[in-house]
Amino acid sequence: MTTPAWTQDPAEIDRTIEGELPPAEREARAAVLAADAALAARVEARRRFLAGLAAAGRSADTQARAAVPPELAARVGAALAAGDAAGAGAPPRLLRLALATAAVLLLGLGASFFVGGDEGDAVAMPPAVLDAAEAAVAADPGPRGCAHDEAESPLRFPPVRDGLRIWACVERDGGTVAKLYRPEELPSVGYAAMPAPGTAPGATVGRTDLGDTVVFDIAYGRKAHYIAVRKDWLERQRMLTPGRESCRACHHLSRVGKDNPHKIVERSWKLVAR
Amino acid sequence: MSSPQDALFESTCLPFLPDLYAFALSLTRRRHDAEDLVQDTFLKAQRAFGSFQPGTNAKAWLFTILRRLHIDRFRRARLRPTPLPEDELAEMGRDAAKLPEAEPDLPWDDLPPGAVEDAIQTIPDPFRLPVRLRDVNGFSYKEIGEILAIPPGTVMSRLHRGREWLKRELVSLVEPPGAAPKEGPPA
Repeated sequence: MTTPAWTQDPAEIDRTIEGELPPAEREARAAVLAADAALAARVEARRRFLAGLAAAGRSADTQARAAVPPELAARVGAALAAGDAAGAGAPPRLLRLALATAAVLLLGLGASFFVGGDEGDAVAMPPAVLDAAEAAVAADPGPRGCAHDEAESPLRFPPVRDGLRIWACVERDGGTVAKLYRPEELPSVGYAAMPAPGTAPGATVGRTDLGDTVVFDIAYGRKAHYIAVRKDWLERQRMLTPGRESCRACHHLSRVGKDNPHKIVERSWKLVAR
Repeated sequence: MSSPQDALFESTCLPFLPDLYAFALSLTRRRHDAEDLVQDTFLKAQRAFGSFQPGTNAKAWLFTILRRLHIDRFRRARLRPTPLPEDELAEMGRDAAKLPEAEPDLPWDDLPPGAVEDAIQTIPDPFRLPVRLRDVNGFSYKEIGEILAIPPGTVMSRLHRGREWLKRELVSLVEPPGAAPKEGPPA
Protein backbone atom coordinates (compact mmCIF):
# COMPACT_ATOMS: atom_id res chain seq x y z
CA MET A 1 0.00 0.00 0.00
CA THR A 2 1.39 3.39 -1.01
CA THR A 3 1.72 5.90 1.79
CA PRO A 4 -0.44 8.92 1.01
CA ALA A 5 1.45 12.17 0.56
CA TRP A 6 -0.44 13.92 3.33
CA THR A 7 1.08 11.62 5.93
CA GLN A 8 4.48 13.15 5.18
CA ASP A 9 3.30 16.74 5.37
CA PRO A 10 3.06 18.08 8.94
CA ALA A 11 0.77 20.93 7.90
CA GLU A 12 -1.62 18.42 6.38
CA ILE A 13 -1.52 16.41 9.60
CA ASP A 14 -2.52 19.51 11.55
CA ARG A 15 -5.33 20.02 9.09
CA THR A 16 -6.41 16.42 9.53
CA ILE A 17 -6.43 16.70 13.31
CA GLU A 18 -8.40 19.91 13.22
CA GLY A 19 -11.02 18.48 10.91
CA GLU A 20 -10.52 21.14 8.25
CA LEU A 21 -11.38 18.66 5.52
CA PRO A 22 -14.30 17.73 3.32
CA PRO A 23 -16.20 14.76 4.82
CA ALA A 24 -15.02 12.27 2.20
CA GLU A 25 -11.38 13.25 2.71
CA ARG A 26 -11.81 13.07 6.47
CA GLU A 27 -13.07 9.51 6.23
CA ALA A 28 -10.29 8.50 3.85
CA ARG A 29 -7.65 9.83 6.20
CA ALA A 30 -9.28 8.19 9.19
CA ALA A 31 -9.03 4.89 7.36
CA VAL A 32 -5.33 5.43 6.71
CA LEU A 33 -4.75 6.17 10.38
CA ALA A 34 -6.70 3.11 11.43
CA ALA A 35 -4.42 0.96 9.31
CA ASP A 36 -1.11 2.47 10.45
CA ALA A 37 -0.50 2.28 14.19
CA ALA A 38 2.82 4.10 14.08
CA LEU A 39 1.39 6.99 12.14
CA ALA A 40 -1.65 7.05 14.41
CA ALA A 41 0.61 7.33 17.47
CA ARG A 42 2.49 10.26 15.99
CA VAL A 43 -0.75 11.95 15.03
CA GLU A 44 -2.08 11.37 18.54
CA ALA A 45 1.02 13.02 20.03
CA ARG A 46 0.51 15.96 17.71
CA ARG A 47 -3.15 16.09 18.70
CA ARG A 48 -2.14 16.38 22.36
CA PHE A 49 0.15 19.26 21.51
CA LEU A 50 -2.57 21.06 19.56
CA ALA A 51 -5.10 20.46 22.34
CA GLY A 52 -2.70 21.91 24.91
CA LEU A 53 -2.03 24.86 22.65
CA ALA A 54 -5.74 25.46 22.11
CA ALA A 55 -6.42 25.44 25.85
CA ALA A 56 -3.50 27.77 26.48
CA GLY A 57 -4.72 29.97 23.64
CA ARG A 58 -8.17 30.25 25.18
CA SER A 59 -6.61 31.22 28.48
CA ALA A 60 -4.44 33.81 26.74
CA ASP A 61 -7.53 35.13 24.98
CA THR A 62 -9.35 35.55 28.28
CA GLN A 63 -6.41 37.45 29.72
CA ALA A 64 -6.09 39.64 26.64
CA ARG A 65 -9.80 40.46 26.70
CA ALA A 66 -9.56 41.43 30.36
CA ALA A 67 -6.73 43.82 29.57
CA VAL A 68 -8.90 46.17 27.54
CA PRO A 69 -8.48 49.73 28.81
CA PRO A 70 -11.71 50.61 30.64
CA GLU A 71 -12.02 53.92 28.84
CA LEU A 72 -11.83 52.42 25.36
CA ALA A 73 -15.52 51.47 25.20
CA ALA A 74 -16.55 55.01 26.04
CA ARG A 75 -14.08 56.40 23.53
CA VAL A 76 -15.40 54.18 20.75
CA GLY A 77 -18.96 55.03 21.71
CA ALA A 78 -18.21 58.72 21.49
CA ALA A 79 -16.56 58.27 18.13
CA LEU A 80 -19.52 56.33 16.80
CA ALA A 81 -21.95 58.97 18.02
CA ALA A 82 -19.83 61.68 16.46
CA GLY A 83 -19.77 59.71 13.24
CA ASP A 84 -23.55 59.47 13.28
CA ALA A 85 -24.04 63.13 14.00
CA ALA A 86 -21.53 64.25 11.42
CA GLY A 87 -23.06 61.94 8.86
CA ALA A 88 -26.50 63.44 9.46
CA GLY A 89 -25.20 66.95 9.12
CA ALA A 90 -25.99 67.74 12.71
CA PRO A 91 -25.24 71.22 14.02
CA PRO A 92 -22.18 71.58 16.28
CA ARG A 93 -24.19 71.87 19.48
CA LEU A 94 -25.91 68.57 18.85
CA LEU A 95 -22.61 67.06 17.90
CA ARG A 96 -21.11 68.13 21.21
CA LEU A 97 -24.14 66.76 23.00
CA ALA A 98 -23.81 63.48 21.21
CA LEU A 99 -20.16 63.30 22.18
CA ALA A 100 -20.94 63.97 25.80
CA THR A 101 -23.81 61.56 26.13
CA ALA A 102 -22.35 58.76 24.07
CA ALA A 103 -19.64 58.25 26.63
CA VAL A 104 -22.24 57.30 29.21
CA LEU A 105 -24.79 55.69 26.96
CA LEU A 106 -22.52 53.54 24.91
CA LEU A 107 -24.56 50.41 24.70
CA GLY A 108 -28.01 51.86 25.17
CA LEU A 109 -30.75 50.97 22.76
CA GLY A 110 -32.96 53.79 23.83
CA ALA A 111 -34.70 54.39 20.53
CA SER A 112 -38.24 53.78 21.67
CA PHE A 113 -37.82 54.23 25.38
CA PHE A 114 -38.50 57.46 27.13
CA VAL A 115 -35.41 58.17 29.13
CA GLY A 116 -35.72 60.54 32.01
CA GLY A 117 -34.52 61.42 35.46
CA ASP A 118 -31.02 61.49 36.82
CA GLU A 119 -31.09 58.69 39.32
CA GLY A 120 -27.98 57.16 37.93
CA ASP A 121 -25.00 57.81 35.78
CA ALA A 122 -25.51 55.31 33.05
CA VAL A 123 -22.29 53.91 31.80
CA ALA A 124 -21.40 50.89 29.79
CA MET A 125 -19.90 47.97 31.60
CA PRO A 126 -16.90 46.62 29.74
CA PRO A 127 -17.41 42.93 29.05
CA ALA A 128 -14.04 42.24 30.62
CA VAL A 129 -15.41 43.51 33.93
CA LEU A 130 -18.26 41.08 33.69
CA ASP A 131 -15.87 38.23 33.18
CA ALA A 132 -13.91 39.26 36.23
CA ALA A 133 -16.80 38.57 38.60
CA GLU A 134 -17.12 34.87 37.94
CA ALA A 135 -15.48 33.58 41.08
CA ALA A 136 -17.46 35.84 43.38
CA VAL A 137 -20.74 34.85 41.84
CA ALA A 138 -19.92 31.17 42.05
CA ALA A 139 -19.29 31.57 45.78
CA ASP A 140 -22.51 33.42 46.51
CA PRO A 141 -25.63 31.79 47.99
CA GLY A 142 -28.51 30.90 45.77
CA PRO A 143 -31.15 33.10 44.24
CA ARG A 144 -33.86 34.84 46.13
CA GLY A 145 -36.39 37.57 45.60
CA CYS A 146 -36.15 37.92 41.86
CA ALA A 147 -38.32 36.96 38.99
CA HIS A 148 -37.13 33.50 38.13
CA ASP A 149 -39.99 32.40 36.05
CA GLU A 150 -43.06 33.78 34.48
CA ALA A 151 -45.30 33.06 37.47
CA GLU A 152 -43.12 35.14 39.78
CA SER A 153 -42.72 38.05 37.44
CA PRO A 154 -44.77 41.22 37.42
CA LEU A 155 -47.78 40.90 35.15
CA ARG A 156 -46.52 37.48 34.09
CA PHE A 157 -43.83 39.20 32.16
CA PRO A 158 -43.10 37.03 29.11
CA PRO A 159 -39.43 37.86 28.67
CA VAL A 160 -38.68 35.80 31.75
CA ARG A 161 -39.89 32.85 29.78
CA ASP A 162 -37.85 33.47 26.67
CA GLY A 163 -35.59 36.33 27.59
CA LEU A 164 -32.97 33.94 28.87
CA ARG A 165 -31.36 35.66 31.84
CA ILE A 166 -31.84 34.40 35.39
CA TRP A 167 -30.30 35.96 38.46
CA ALA A 168 -30.18 36.15 42.16
CA CYS A 169 -30.64 39.19 44.32
CA VAL A 170 -28.70 39.87 47.44
CA GLU A 171 -28.62 42.75 49.87
CA ARG A 172 -25.23 44.31 49.81
CA ASP A 173 -23.84 47.68 50.72
CA GLY A 174 -27.31 49.01 51.48
CA GLY A 175 -28.66 48.26 48.06
CA THR A 176 -30.10 45.41 46.12
CA VAL A 177 -27.71 43.65 43.89
CA ALA A 178 -28.75 41.68 40.90
CA LYS A 179 -26.46 38.81 40.29
CA LEU A 180 -26.60 37.87 36.67
CA TYR A 181 -25.78 34.70 34.95
CA ARG A 182 -26.74 32.80 31.90
CA PRO A 183 -28.29 29.47 32.77
CA GLU A 184 -26.87 27.99 29.60
CA GLU A 185 -23.46 29.56 30.00
CA LEU A 186 -22.55 29.28 33.64
CA PRO A 187 -20.59 30.68 35.36
CA SER A 188 -21.96 34.12 35.67
CA VAL A 189 -21.40 37.25 33.70
CA GLY A 190 -21.17 39.50 36.70
CA TYR A 191 -22.79 41.66 39.29
CA ALA A 192 -24.68 44.88 39.02
CA ALA A 193 -25.82 47.04 41.87
CA MET A 194 -29.37 48.33 41.67
CA PRO A 195 -31.30 50.77 43.82
CA ALA A 196 -33.17 49.28 46.74
CA PRO A 197 -36.71 48.12 45.97
CA GLY A 198 -39.65 50.42 46.34
CA THR A 199 -37.79 53.63 45.72
CA ALA A 200 -38.96 54.14 42.17
CA PRO A 201 -42.28 55.93 41.66
CA GLY A 202 -45.28 54.28 40.02
CA ALA A 203 -44.61 53.15 36.51
CA THR A 204 -40.93 53.98 36.54
CA VAL A 205 -38.73 51.21 35.30
CA GLY A 206 -35.02 51.23 35.79
CA ARG A 207 -32.78 50.15 33.00
CA THR A 208 -29.17 49.09 33.32
CA ASP A 209 -26.99 48.20 30.39
CA LEU A 210 -24.58 45.39 31.05
CA GLY A 211 -22.66 44.41 27.99
CA ASP A 212 -25.00 42.51 25.74
CA THR A 213 -27.68 42.40 28.40
CA VAL A 214 -30.26 44.96 29.45
CA VAL A 215 -31.60 44.69 32.99
CA PHE A 216 -34.93 46.25 33.86
CA ASP A 217 -35.75 46.72 37.52
CA ILE A 218 -39.35 47.24 38.51
CA ALA A 219 -40.89 47.95 41.90
CA TYR A 220 -44.05 45.88 41.98
CA GLY A 221 -45.97 44.60 44.98
CA ARG A 222 -43.43 46.22 47.31
CA LYS A 223 -40.81 43.99 45.90
CA ALA A 224 -38.06 44.57 43.42
CA HIS A 225 -38.12 42.51 40.31
CA TYR A 226 -35.31 42.23 37.87
CA ILE A 227 -35.73 41.19 34.31
CA ALA A 228 -32.69 40.72 32.19
CA VAL A 229 -33.05 40.55 28.46
CA ARG A 230 -30.47 40.12 25.80
CA LYS A 231 -30.11 43.25 23.74
CA ASP A 232 -30.35 41.41 20.48
CA TRP A 233 -33.55 39.72 21.64
CA LEU A 234 -34.99 43.08 22.66
CA GLU A 235 -33.98 44.62 19.39
CA ARG A 236 -35.64 41.84 17.42
CA GLN A 237 -38.84 42.37 19.38
CA ARG A 238 -38.75 46.06 18.66
CA MET A 239 -38.21 45.48 14.98
CA LEU A 240 -41.16 43.12 14.91
CA THR A 241 -43.39 45.86 16.25
CA PRO A 242 -42.50 48.87 14.14
CA GLY A 243 -44.22 52.12 14.87
CA ARG A 244 -45.19 51.16 18.41
CA GLU A 245 -43.71 52.10 21.69
CA SER A 246 -41.79 49.40 23.36
CA CYS A 247 -44.38 47.88 25.73
CA ARG A 248 -45.37 45.22 23.29
CA ALA A 249 -41.77 44.24 22.86
CA CYS A 250 -41.82 42.94 26.42
CA HIS A 251 -45.47 42.42 27.30
CA HIS A 252 -46.39 40.97 23.95
CA LEU A 253 -50.12 40.80 23.23
CA SER A 254 -51.20 42.01 26.66
CA ARG A 255 -50.32 45.56 25.67
CA VAL A 256 -51.26 45.67 22.02
CA GLY A 257 -52.58 49.06 21.09
CA LYS A 258 -51.70 50.69 24.37
CA ASP A 259 -49.27 53.47 24.84
CA ASN A 260 -46.16 52.98 26.85
CA PRO A 261 -46.93 54.04 30.44
CA HIS A 262 -43.38 53.57 31.62
CA LYS A 263 -40.79 56.11 32.36
CA ILE A 264 -37.45 54.48 31.82
CA VAL A 265 -34.67 55.63 34.09
CA GLU A 266 -31.13 54.79 33.21
CA ARG A 267 -29.42 53.15 36.15
CA SER A 268 -25.80 53.08 37.00
CA TRP A 269 -24.04 49.81 37.57
CA LYS A 270 -21.18 49.12 39.80
CA LEU A 271 -19.10 46.09 40.34
CA VAL A 272 -19.48 44.96 43.91
CA ALA A 273 -17.34 41.89 43.81
CA ARG A 274 -14.33 40.81 41.85
CA MET B 1 -31.54 58.99 19.55
CA SER B 2 -30.27 55.95 17.75
CA SER B 3 -31.99 54.28 14.83
CA PRO B 4 -32.82 50.57 14.76
CA GLN B 5 -29.89 50.16 12.38
CA ASP B 6 -27.56 51.81 14.89
CA ALA B 7 -28.89 49.64 17.68
CA LEU B 8 -28.43 46.54 15.57
CA PHE B 9 -24.89 47.60 14.79
CA GLU B 10 -24.13 48.13 18.46
CA SER B 11 -25.58 44.83 19.58
CA THR B 12 -23.88 42.97 16.75
CA CYS B 13 -20.45 44.55 16.80
CA LEU B 14 -19.64 46.19 20.13
CA PRO B 15 -19.44 42.93 22.09
CA PHE B 16 -16.31 42.14 20.07
CA LEU B 17 -14.44 45.19 21.28
CA PRO B 18 -12.21 43.19 23.66
CA ASP B 19 -11.39 40.67 20.90
CA LEU B 20 -10.54 43.45 18.48
CA TYR B 21 -8.39 45.25 21.02
CA ALA B 22 -6.41 42.11 21.80
CA PHE B 23 -5.89 41.47 18.09
CA ALA B 24 -4.95 45.10 17.44
CA LEU B 25 -2.45 44.97 20.27
CA SER B 26 -0.87 41.88 18.77
CA LEU B 27 -0.55 43.72 15.44
CA THR B 28 0.69 47.07 16.67
CA ARG B 29 2.31 46.02 19.96
CA ARG B 30 1.52 49.52 21.23
CA ARG B 31 -1.47 50.27 23.39
CA HIS B 32 -2.28 53.67 21.90
CA ASP B 33 -1.92 52.44 18.35
CA ALA B 34 -4.19 49.51 19.20
CA GLU B 35 -6.83 51.81 20.64
CA ASP B 36 -6.72 54.02 17.53
CA LEU B 37 -7.00 50.98 15.32
CA VAL B 38 -10.02 49.64 17.22
CA GLN B 39 -11.76 52.99 17.07
CA ASP B 40 -11.14 53.31 13.34
CA THR B 41 -12.36 49.76 12.85
CA PHE B 42 -15.67 50.49 14.50
CA LEU B 43 -16.11 53.70 12.54
CA LYS B 44 -15.43 51.92 9.28
CA ALA B 45 -17.68 49.02 10.27
CA GLN B 46 -20.46 51.44 11.15
CA ARG B 47 -20.26 53.02 7.71
CA ALA B 48 -20.11 49.64 6.00
CA PHE B 49 -22.72 47.93 8.15
CA GLY B 50 -25.22 48.00 5.33
CA SER B 51 -23.07 45.51 3.46
CA PHE B 52 -22.82 43.13 6.40
CA GLN B 53 -24.82 39.97 5.90
CA PRO B 54 -26.82 39.18 9.06
CA GLY B 55 -26.17 35.68 10.23
CA THR B 56 -22.58 35.62 8.99
CA ASN B 57 -19.63 35.84 11.33
CA ALA B 58 -19.51 39.43 12.57
CA LYS B 59 -16.32 38.78 14.47
CA ALA B 60 -14.49 37.64 11.34
CA TRP B 61 -15.92 40.59 9.44
CA LEU B 62 -14.61 43.04 12.05
CA PHE B 63 -11.22 41.35 12.19
CA THR B 64 -10.97 41.65 8.41
CA ILE B 65 -11.69 45.37 8.59
CA LEU B 66 -9.15 45.84 11.35
CA ARG B 67 -6.48 43.91 9.47
CA ARG B 68 -7.04 45.95 6.31
CA LEU B 69 -6.89 49.19 8.24
CA HIS B 70 -3.65 48.10 9.80
CA ILE B 71 -2.16 47.38 6.39
CA ASP B 72 -3.42 50.72 5.06
CA ARG B 73 -1.81 52.46 7.98
CA PHE B 74 1.51 50.87 7.21
CA ARG B 75 1.21 51.92 3.60
CA ARG B 76 0.29 55.46 4.49
CA ALA B 77 3.20 55.79 6.85
CA ARG B 78 5.49 54.13 4.31
CA LEU B 79 6.35 51.63 6.95
CA ARG B 80 6.53 47.92 6.70
CA PRO B 81 6.71 45.27 9.36
CA THR B 82 10.27 44.25 9.94
CA PRO B 83 11.07 41.73 7.22
CA LEU B 84 12.24 38.37 8.30
CA PRO B 85 15.79 37.55 7.20
CA GLU B 86 15.66 35.25 4.22
CA ASP B 87 17.96 32.66 5.75
CA GLU B 88 15.83 32.45 8.90
CA LEU B 89 12.71 32.08 6.79
CA ALA B 90 14.34 29.32 4.78
CA GLU B 91 15.48 27.58 7.95
CA MET B 92 11.99 27.71 9.36
CA GLY B 93 10.63 26.25 6.17
CA ARG B 94 13.10 23.37 6.27
CA ASP B 95 12.36 22.64 9.92
CA ALA B 96 8.64 22.80 9.58
CA ALA B 97 8.51 20.69 6.47
CA LYS B 98 9.85 17.71 8.36
CA LEU B 99 7.52 15.39 10.13
CA PRO B 100 8.69 15.47 13.75
CA GLU B 101 9.70 12.11 15.10
CA ALA B 102 8.13 12.90 18.45
CA GLU B 103 6.15 15.73 19.98
CA PRO B 104 7.33 17.11 23.30
CA ASP B 105 4.89 16.64 26.16
CA LEU B 106 4.76 20.22 27.29
CA PRO B 107 3.66 20.83 30.89
CA TRP B 108 0.99 23.30 29.84
CA ASP B 109 -0.38 23.76 33.34
CA ASP B 110 3.03 24.53 34.76
CA LEU B 111 4.04 27.16 32.24
CA PRO B 112 4.56 30.62 33.77
CA PRO B 113 1.59 32.99 33.47
CA GLY B 114 1.58 34.75 30.14
CA ALA B 115 4.19 32.39 28.71
CA VAL B 116 2.10 31.34 25.74
CA GLU B 117 1.13 34.89 24.84
CA ASP B 118 4.75 35.99 25.17
CA ALA B 119 5.89 33.09 23.03
CA ILE B 120 3.30 33.92 20.38
CA GLN B 121 4.68 37.43 20.22
CA THR B 122 8.10 36.08 19.31
CA ILE B 123 6.79 34.38 16.18
CA PRO B 124 7.61 36.36 13.03
CA ASP B 125 4.63 38.26 11.62
CA PRO B 126 3.69 36.09 8.64
CA PHE B 127 3.40 33.05 10.89
CA ARG B 128 2.25 34.70 14.09
CA LEU B 129 -1.09 35.98 12.85
CA PRO B 130 -2.44 32.63 11.67
CA VAL B 131 -1.44 31.10 15.01
CA ARG B 132 -3.10 33.85 16.93
CA LEU B 133 -6.26 33.78 14.83
CA ARG B 134 -6.55 30.01 15.08
CA ASP B 135 -5.29 29.08 18.53
CA VAL B 136 -6.31 32.19 20.44
CA ASN B 137 -9.32 33.51 18.55
CA GLY B 138 -10.61 30.18 17.26
CA PHE B 139 -11.18 31.10 13.62
CA SER B 140 -11.40 28.42 10.94
CA TYR B 141 -8.75 28.11 8.24
CA LYS B 142 -11.20 29.65 5.77
CA GLU B 143 -11.91 32.63 8.01
CA ILE B 144 -8.20 33.15 8.62
CA GLY B 145 -7.66 33.18 4.88
CA GLU B 146 -10.32 35.85 4.47
CA ILE B 147 -8.99 37.99 7.30
CA LEU B 148 -5.40 37.85 6.09
CA ALA B 149 -6.27 37.73 2.38
CA ILE B 150 -4.17 34.64 1.76
CA PRO B 151 -5.11 31.31 0.13
CA PRO B 152 -6.11 28.33 2.32
CA GLY B 153 -2.91 26.45 1.51
CA THR B 154 -0.85 29.37 2.71
CA VAL B 155 -2.90 29.54 5.90
CA MET B 156 -2.19 25.88 6.53
CA SER B 157 1.56 26.09 5.99
CA ARG B 158 2.03 29.36 7.89
CA LEU B 159 -0.05 28.09 10.76
CA HIS B 160 2.07 25.00 11.04
CA ARG B 161 5.34 26.89 10.84
CA GLY B 162 4.17 29.38 13.41
CA ARG B 163 3.20 26.57 15.74
CA GLU B 164 6.58 24.95 15.31
CA TRP B 165 8.26 28.23 16.21
CA LEU B 166 5.97 28.54 19.22
CA LYS B 167 6.73 24.99 20.29
CA ARG B 168 10.44 25.68 20.12
CA GLU B 169 10.00 28.76 22.30
CA LEU B 170 7.92 26.90 24.86
CA VAL B 171 10.27 23.95 24.99
CA SER B 172 13.14 26.33 25.66
CA LEU B 173 11.20 27.65 28.66
CA VAL B 174 10.83 24.28 30.30
CA GLU B 175 14.22 22.85 29.45
CA PRO B 176 17.41 24.28 30.96
CA PRO B 177 19.81 25.85 28.43
CA GLY B 178 22.05 23.26 26.88
CA ALA B 179 19.87 20.35 27.91
CA ALA B 180 19.36 17.63 25.39
CA PRO B 181 15.89 17.64 23.91
CA LYS B 182 13.53 15.29 25.67
CA GLU B 183 12.54 12.20 23.84
CA GLY B 184 8.86 11.85 23.37
CA PRO B 185 6.90 8.67 23.71
CA PRO B 186 7.96 5.94 21.32
CA ALA B 187 6.16 6.10 18.03
